[in-house]
Amino acid sequence: MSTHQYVVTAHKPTAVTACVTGNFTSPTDLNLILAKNNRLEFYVVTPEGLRALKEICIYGKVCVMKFFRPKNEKKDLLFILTARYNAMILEAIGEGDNLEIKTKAHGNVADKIGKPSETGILAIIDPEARAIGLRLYDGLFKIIPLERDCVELKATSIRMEEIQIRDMEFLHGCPLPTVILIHEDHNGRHIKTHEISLKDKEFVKTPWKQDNIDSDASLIIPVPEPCGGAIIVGQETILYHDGSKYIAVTPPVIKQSTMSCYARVDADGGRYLLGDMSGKLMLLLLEKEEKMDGAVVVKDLKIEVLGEISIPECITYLDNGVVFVGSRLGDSQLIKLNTKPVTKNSYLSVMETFTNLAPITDMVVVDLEKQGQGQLVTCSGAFKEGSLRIIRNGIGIQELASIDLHGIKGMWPLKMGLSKEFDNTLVLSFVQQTRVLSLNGDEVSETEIAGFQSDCQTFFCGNVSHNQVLQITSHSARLVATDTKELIYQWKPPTEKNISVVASNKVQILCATGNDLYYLEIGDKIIDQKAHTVLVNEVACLDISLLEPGTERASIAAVGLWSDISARVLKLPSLEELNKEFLGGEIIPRSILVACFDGINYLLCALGDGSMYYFILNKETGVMTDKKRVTLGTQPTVLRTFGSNASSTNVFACSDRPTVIYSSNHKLVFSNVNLKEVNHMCSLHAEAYPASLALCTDSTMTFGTIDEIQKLHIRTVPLGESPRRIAYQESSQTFGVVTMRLDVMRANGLQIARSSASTMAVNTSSSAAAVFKGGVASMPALDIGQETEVHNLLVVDQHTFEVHHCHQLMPSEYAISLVSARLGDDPRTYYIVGTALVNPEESEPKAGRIVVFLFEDGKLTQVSEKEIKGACYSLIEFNGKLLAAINSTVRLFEWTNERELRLECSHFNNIIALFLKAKGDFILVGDLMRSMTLLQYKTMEGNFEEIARDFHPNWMTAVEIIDDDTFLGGENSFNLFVCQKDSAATADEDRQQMIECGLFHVGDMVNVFRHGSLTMQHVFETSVPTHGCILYGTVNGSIGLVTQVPQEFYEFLSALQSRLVTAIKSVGKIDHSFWRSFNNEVKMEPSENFIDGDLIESFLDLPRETMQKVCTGLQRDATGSGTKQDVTVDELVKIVEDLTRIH
Amino acid sequence: MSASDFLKGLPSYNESNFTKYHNDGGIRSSAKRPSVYLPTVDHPSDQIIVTEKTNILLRYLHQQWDKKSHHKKRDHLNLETIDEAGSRKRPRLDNGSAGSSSANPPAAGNSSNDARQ
Repeated sequence: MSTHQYVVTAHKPTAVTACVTGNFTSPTDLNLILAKNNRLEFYVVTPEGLRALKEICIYGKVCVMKFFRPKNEKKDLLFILTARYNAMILEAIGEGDNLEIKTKAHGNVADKIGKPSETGILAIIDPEARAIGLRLYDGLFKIIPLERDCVELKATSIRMEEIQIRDMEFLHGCPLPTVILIHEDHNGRHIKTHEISLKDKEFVKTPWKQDNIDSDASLIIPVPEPCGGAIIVGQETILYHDGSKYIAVTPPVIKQSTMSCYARVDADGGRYLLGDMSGKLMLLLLEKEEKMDGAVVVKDLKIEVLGEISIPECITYLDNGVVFVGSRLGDSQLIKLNTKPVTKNSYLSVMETFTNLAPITDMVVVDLEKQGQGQLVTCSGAFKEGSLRIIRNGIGIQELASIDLHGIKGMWPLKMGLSKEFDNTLVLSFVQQTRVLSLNGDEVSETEIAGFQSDCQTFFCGNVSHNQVLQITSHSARLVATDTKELIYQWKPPTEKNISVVASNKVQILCATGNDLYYLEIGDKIIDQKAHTVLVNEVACLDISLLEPGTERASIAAVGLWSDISARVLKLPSLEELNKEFLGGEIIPRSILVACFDGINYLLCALGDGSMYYFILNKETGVMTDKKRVTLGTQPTVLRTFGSNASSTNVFACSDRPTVIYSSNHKLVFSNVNLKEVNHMCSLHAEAYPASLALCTDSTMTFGTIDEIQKLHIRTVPLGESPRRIAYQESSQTFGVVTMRLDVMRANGLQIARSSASTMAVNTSSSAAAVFKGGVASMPALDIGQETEVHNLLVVDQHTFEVHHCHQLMPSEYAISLVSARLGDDPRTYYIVGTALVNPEESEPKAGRIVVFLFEDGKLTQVSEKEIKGACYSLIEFNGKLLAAINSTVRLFEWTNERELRLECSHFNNIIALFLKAKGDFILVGDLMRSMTLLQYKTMEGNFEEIARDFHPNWMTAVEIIDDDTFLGGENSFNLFVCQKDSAATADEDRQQMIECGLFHVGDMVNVFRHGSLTMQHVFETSVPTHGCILYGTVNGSIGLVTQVPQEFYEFLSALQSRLVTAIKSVGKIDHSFWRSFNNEVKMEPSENFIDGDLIESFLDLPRETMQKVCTGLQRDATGSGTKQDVTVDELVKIVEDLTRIH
Repeated sequence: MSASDFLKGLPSYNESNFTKYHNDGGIRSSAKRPSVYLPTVDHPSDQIIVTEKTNILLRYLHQQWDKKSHHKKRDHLNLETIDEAGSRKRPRLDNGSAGSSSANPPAAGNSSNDARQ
């Protein structure tokens, strides 16, 4: 039982909430800045595209981000306002690697009282940079004068008559800063302007206003000079108003959706890009004319659709027709605008997409390959951007071609003939046979090399010095000319024994026959035997890889031996033994390799059981230190180096769990490869397959490219509709996914608006509209053109992600929960969906269903249904029964022999029971607004007992059980908290009350918690005593994890954290303690019993001298002896590295 | 006018930007992130944003007060020049300077009184 938590982000937020373009890092740099929740990403536009500069963590959720340029300045400054009202002005100083972000001004602009506006925070900056205007609370307008010579910028509130403000902006070209706003009252929406006196801090007059504009107007676009004025975009009309006159147009194209964002294209405000909520990109053109007096006025407004983009949250024009589209609901994009249509009706082409998991509405952790490593499948995105994302720690292979070939025992690429750059031949070794493939373009054909011995297995093959090819078989080492392909020299071992193990580079060969080891050198048309030695045991594996690039000869060799299970380092050319290391155990080494990663030499030795030892190797003395063991698979492992790029070494470990080994931050990283098994592999650089790998399994050979080293691998399965819930069913090898699509009412009835996963399923079925006791499931009365939600259960193949079956629910029936469960003695596993019949007139649903489906033989059939009196928010399997949260109740259903659900017992003490989790007999209930409750099911009595409750008014978004006594909750002000039940308390009252024993502001809304891990468990010898792992998914697309740490380690991390808080300066000067403090509408309390893992892990990115500073005086009682000892920098690096390996 | 005409002459700040962009025929998909910036040097900020703590109503009343007294001053000046006008503003002036004991205070005394408010 632990009440100390370590929380860390495994995948940073990906939803783009704001984007701006300006000259930030220098007067000539064109910068793009993206805001992703609490992180900013800085890019610079280059001829090659966007170049990433820096990512910055802000201690707050970025609400508004805007560039502005003070008068006579050549660079832009960045204004940021966070959700907790921290304002800051940032400036870039220095360039390139010396780039620093300076906080020019900062402060908190919150008021003690005031009603936070329902339409969110609005912040605007005067185009002449005289003032910043904020609307944080209803009825108040706050002004920050941008005086340059004052040390204090005094933010002052002004009373504003208009309460409900939809949007506001500063107008251009006004003698005094002038605000234009859209406000709403019971008559409709209106626009109004206010002139501000910065001296008196008040609105001095209303230069102009216009009542009763478009009833859904929500976007103001201020127009720069010479025209001035503003464009107001509504649902049906676009209005231009310059104070004295207006022009309104009602183009039909804007009616279908609501315009959500815009980007100015021309500096003079001639053209604007508009994006709407359906993902349409439009161009708005202001037609201007010059009057007799020289004044330029707007004559007309024209709008054209340019094409479809990701549903945009923000748009910004970069340069030369390239536009960045930031999205919250789908992948962000870089698009190019073309003057000629690219396809019919589309003038844009997508250049690049940026993976986005947001919003994660649900997820499951599954181990599909049964490799002991979880992968996440998330319900991501919404509407047309809806998708499933498969997130896996590992590396991806993109398959280019594959050939069916059985029993490959080894493969090597060759350059034959005149080819200098590309490999054109592939040698494949089989038992008793060697075959040669010729690669001609993408044609692969079998060929022969006359000088090769082809009736036996090849142990090694490769291009060597003097334009020769070396083939080593069990009988001999053969030199073959690359041009004539004829044999030119042959070396045979002096004894009758067959060659058993070999290793070679371009000029050196090591050849073993049993205990005998020969060292050979390759000359022109000759192989010279230079040394011979007899080892204590038979040789199991050999390596003479080069440790330094550019050198020709290896100065050491690595040998693994049978019987004594040792790894030895021999000196070349003498074969004198430098050092040996006994590996222990009885499993023989199968593959040994010396390699240099990041300037550090390693010796890797893989054993027959899939485990691997690795050492740091001194290549002069042969001394092996820092012995470590890692489990890579369960089968004999073969280690091969390959080049993903020239500068770094990568090792491919072929086994039943193929792994790529590389170095990051001077530590070895082991990444899974998304392939089931690989027996052998080699690099291949052929004309048709450049920079590729050839990989073989028992039956297939594949050519493919390897992804750039990346920890989390994300695969996208587009659905084209909103996924809401997901469940995994192992027995049928499928995922159940609840989705929602929007259908449109047409003259001939409800029609599918666009094809998506549910409309393209192999099989379909539906619940007929029916009247039943609980309520009426009828078609809502819809006007033509109106959209309505259609809910479906999809059954998706776990391998192909093909939709096997789609079951459509009744009209106005919303599917809100899903579980895959086995009930009672019934051996089958069912998909069970909980629904609600939604009637817009009712405050909460009064009827719903629990529907039980069976997926068998590719078809989904309904087995049973149960009418319920409300919405079924959550369903879980509970000891062979079904537990459901229905409106304010928690109900337990039994599965009868007649295959029907029968109510057993209920619990009533909730407002709305939204979330359920169970462990043993205990049930954790998350309530809409009354935090968490723990129930116990009494088997004997057949009822629920309320054990304990958290009495704080937390509005829950997710709950999870940590252990029998400890519970984790996420609430809607972006906080996490931990509660504990106190079973030892003597008083009943104390026992019934949960103790809040952990508080943390995570800064993002957690939608789902799941037990599970993304990394292989217990693979590493770790120095960090973490326990358990709960993953969470958020609205902004980040994935994090919460793990438990013991008291001693918590105190140590706590000390490290407080040192890092001082060492790492906060951009925007927001205190770390403020950022992580639990904060909602009712209280603010300091973070407690939580460690900020993101801050801890940033230790690894610090320069060495800062690490040293942080480390000085830090002590730890690692052994539990009660005495604390100083921690060295290296120890600390190792601890933090081990912490990073849990995700 | 068609969309093609609309899109002519899009702004260019640096003609070479995006000219060497390669996406190898397909759409490039990117999940890469820039390196993390970890400042260890503290740059003192030039300015501090402070929120005026005064209650908005109090500030409004103060403002009104200031305005009134400002008016008063101006009225006094007016009074001195057009002294005999028998202005109806005089009673209000008296009410306004309620703290003053003198029924008809001299101009100078009144303004110093205001300064103290």
